[in-house]
Amino acid sequence: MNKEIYSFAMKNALNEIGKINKNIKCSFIFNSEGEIIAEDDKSSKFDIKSIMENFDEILEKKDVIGGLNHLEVKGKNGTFKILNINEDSYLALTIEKNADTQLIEATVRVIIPTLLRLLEKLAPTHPIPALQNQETKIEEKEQKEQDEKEREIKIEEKEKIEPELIEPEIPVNQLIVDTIGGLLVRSDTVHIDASIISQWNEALNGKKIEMVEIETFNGKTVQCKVKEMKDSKLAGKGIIKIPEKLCKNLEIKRGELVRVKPVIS
Amino acid sequence: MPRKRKIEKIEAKPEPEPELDKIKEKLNEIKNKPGIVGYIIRNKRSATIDLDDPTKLIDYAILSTSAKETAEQLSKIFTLDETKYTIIEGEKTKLLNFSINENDISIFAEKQVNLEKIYKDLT
Repeated sequence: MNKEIYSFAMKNALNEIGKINKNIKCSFIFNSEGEIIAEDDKSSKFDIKSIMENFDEILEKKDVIGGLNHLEVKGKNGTFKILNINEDSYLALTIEKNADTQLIEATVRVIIPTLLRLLEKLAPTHPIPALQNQETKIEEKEQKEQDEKEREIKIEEKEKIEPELIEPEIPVNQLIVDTIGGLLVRSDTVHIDASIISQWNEALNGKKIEMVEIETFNGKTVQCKVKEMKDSKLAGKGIIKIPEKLCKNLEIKRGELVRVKPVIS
Repeated sequence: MPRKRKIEKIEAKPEPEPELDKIKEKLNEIKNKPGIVGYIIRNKRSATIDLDDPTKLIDYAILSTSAKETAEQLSKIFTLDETKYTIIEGEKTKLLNFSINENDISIFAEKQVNLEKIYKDLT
């Protein structure tokens, strides 16, 4: 229900109340910000906006007495009343002299709040600015909750993603040096047990391992190509076959221990 | 030797205001009744304030002035004629505003107090 329809409904209600109580000179509804929400047909005879301007100071100072529940200006020729009908909505009435103000007050105190509740049920997003404020608060709360959920989801997703993003710890193995020689042996390639390479593969989330770093206990390091050992007899023995030339460079001998780790490009 | 001049001390006495004194007397009686928080009475020359909580004095004074001005405007706009009284009721306190000739009177009371009756008693 949009603002116009809502105001129209309230206006009709005020007009009907005016028909029942002929002594009502005019009536209108406003909020604590001084915004007029609805007014009856008779209100057009009066300068309602200037009334609200005058009323600003009272609205500002209303907290001194604990809000504004009721205001009555008793004149010799009539009475002006303001009734708090909702949390933040006020009904203003001008009543003629000698009218039964108590009866009128009782009538509007029943009809208007009932109508407000009804409209709220029919269209929870009705446009009373005061109630819109409540809605805004609710929306803000919902938005906040939504943001909170989204943040939580993002954190969860991040947590899920993070293992991939975090550089996996590079496995290091201590292997026994075995030398390989011959004319056809490439001096830049070492041979490692296939099971070790597959372990590294798993540890590095399937990354292809083409190079390894060999570190001797003397502190010398070298990076070279790696291939799986074809000799099944050496499988599972923890041996690394290093070309003799490379062993010479690293100043290591057969049977010594070296640290070997894959190089991730 | 020069003669000493006799200097008479002249004090400015406030003009007697029998009506105001009478109102004050009545208000003091009312002030002692249960539920009455205090009162403000003022005219062009003077103001008397008697409130239980002096810290609220300024707020109460502003509210009572605003109530008077608003009532005057409303009376004009809705042709209510001369304003008899204004009552503003909050959750904790209520205010009665009215005038007796040139004296503007504001009485603050707790919610349960019948301010219409007090108005009738005072006028």
